[in-house]
Amino acid sequence: MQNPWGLSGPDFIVLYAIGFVIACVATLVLRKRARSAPLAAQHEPLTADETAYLAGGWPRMVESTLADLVERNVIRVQRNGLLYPVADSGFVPESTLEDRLVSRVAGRPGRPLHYHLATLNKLPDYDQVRDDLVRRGLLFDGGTRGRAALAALPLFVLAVIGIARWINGVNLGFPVGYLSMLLILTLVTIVFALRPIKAGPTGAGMRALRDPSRGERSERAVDAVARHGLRAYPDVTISASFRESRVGLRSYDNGSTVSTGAAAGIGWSGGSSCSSGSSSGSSSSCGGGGGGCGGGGS
Amino acid sequence: MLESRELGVGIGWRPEIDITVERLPGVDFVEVVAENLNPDHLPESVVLLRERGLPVLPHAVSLSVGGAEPVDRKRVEHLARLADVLDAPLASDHVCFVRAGGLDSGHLMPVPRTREALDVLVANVRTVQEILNVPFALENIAALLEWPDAELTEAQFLGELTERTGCLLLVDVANMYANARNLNHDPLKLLDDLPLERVAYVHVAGGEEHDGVYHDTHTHPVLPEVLDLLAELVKRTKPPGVLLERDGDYPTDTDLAAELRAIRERI
Repeated sequence: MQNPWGLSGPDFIVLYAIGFVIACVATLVLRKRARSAPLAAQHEPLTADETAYLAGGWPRMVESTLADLVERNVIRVQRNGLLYPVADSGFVPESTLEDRLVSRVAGRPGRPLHYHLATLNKLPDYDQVRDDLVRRGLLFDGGTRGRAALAALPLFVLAVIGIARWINGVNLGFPVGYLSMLLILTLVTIVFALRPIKAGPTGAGMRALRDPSRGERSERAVDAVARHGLRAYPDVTISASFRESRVGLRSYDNGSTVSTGAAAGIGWSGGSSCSSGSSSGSSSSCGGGGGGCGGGGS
Repeated sequence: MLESRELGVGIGWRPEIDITVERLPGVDFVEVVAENLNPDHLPESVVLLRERGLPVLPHAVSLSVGGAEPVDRKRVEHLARLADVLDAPLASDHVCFVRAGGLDSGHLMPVPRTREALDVLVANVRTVQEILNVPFALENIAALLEWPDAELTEAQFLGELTERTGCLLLVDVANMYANARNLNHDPLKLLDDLPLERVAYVHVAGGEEHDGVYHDTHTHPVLPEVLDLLAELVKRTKPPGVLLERDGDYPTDTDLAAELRAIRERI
């Protein structure tokens, strides 16, 4: 019987495995490129809010705002991390976030930051900072499934070819065991590849965070905390007090817990990847060696 | 006068302002609310203050030595244990009762100034002194009412109390001011007649008037009139220590430091 498409089963399996690896790499590259928007303006300094959002999303903005309020003697921290308003501080809010945070602490004194966080998750301040960072190419604001699907196109193409070969092989009575396994692997990989591309700093955003000349260089607590979280509060006693208040914070992009303590800082939950489940190396070990071993041909 | 127990200027240590108290300039000693501390698990801040050598004085609010019932020995033992752990030079409570018939008032209630009430108070204070390993001081309270048929003035009442028990006085000038405002007491006369040689230290606190009644809130700035009263006391005797009491609406560190400075200027 003639081999379909002029390829023996083992030859097809080898080619399919190679194609699978290439498709995975291509999908990874495409997902990464989706996060790397062109830069709109280089070397524009980052504000403390922008640094905070870039480094850890809106929770980090709350942290750096809290640091600023503590430094300005508007909010007082107890050694165990509980927060209290300072009376007669002459506080005039400079942002909605400041206003809301101080109101929360005044309304419910003696609670740690994480107690207040849930009510501070949707503020116009975040949208403004995020949009500006996105416009400047420093932040990827999260992809839809459509964008993820686009990145996974090489895997789709590979799957279509594999399915066609499999149907043809079945119709012609060839063994298709190895191909079936590779197809299952491909489909599983596609499922992972369809996960939305996570929000987070672009490559330029990461470089901006690493470049001290892009941030406001000062001894202010707000700047230190914006970059590194509350653990970086310049006053070691207060920094330790924040560490005392254990928090289980959720990153805003995917709802996964990203920190078990303020000390750990609040950050993005890690960049996107094609899929942790798409270990293409092992998946291609089927090989297809041996005649009639089931590559949809003899 | 208790010259050997020179304390200086202090502030009430409260958990909410622990770091502030640790860092305030011009704090020579602190006072803690005894009922809020566990002698076996002292707050880190209190331990730190002790390590720096600052006297930490336990101040109780629940012994109810002015009550008709015998004092609760467990409460006194708690105070004694705390005083020991803190290596405190003295411990204190108020001339008042806070419970009767199994009910807690939630407030410091004035004791009738009768001989019979004084006898009960003396007996209770002696019980406390037997359990404590440090001198015991009692504070005059701010009252919104007075029991009728008083047989003794406040100065006589406190004078006899100190004489019969050997206890010390914790003079609260803010409470004196409140009583002057609300009960038309004469605070200067009281200062003249009190056994000031028994003063352990002095309390100063802020308050505010509501609907014609002055409330010793401990949440407002100290009034100049209260500081003037402190100055009047200082004219008569040099108190071993003066302590600022603040129990809420804590202002900025700068404002608290300014209040301590104002106190220091009066002494």
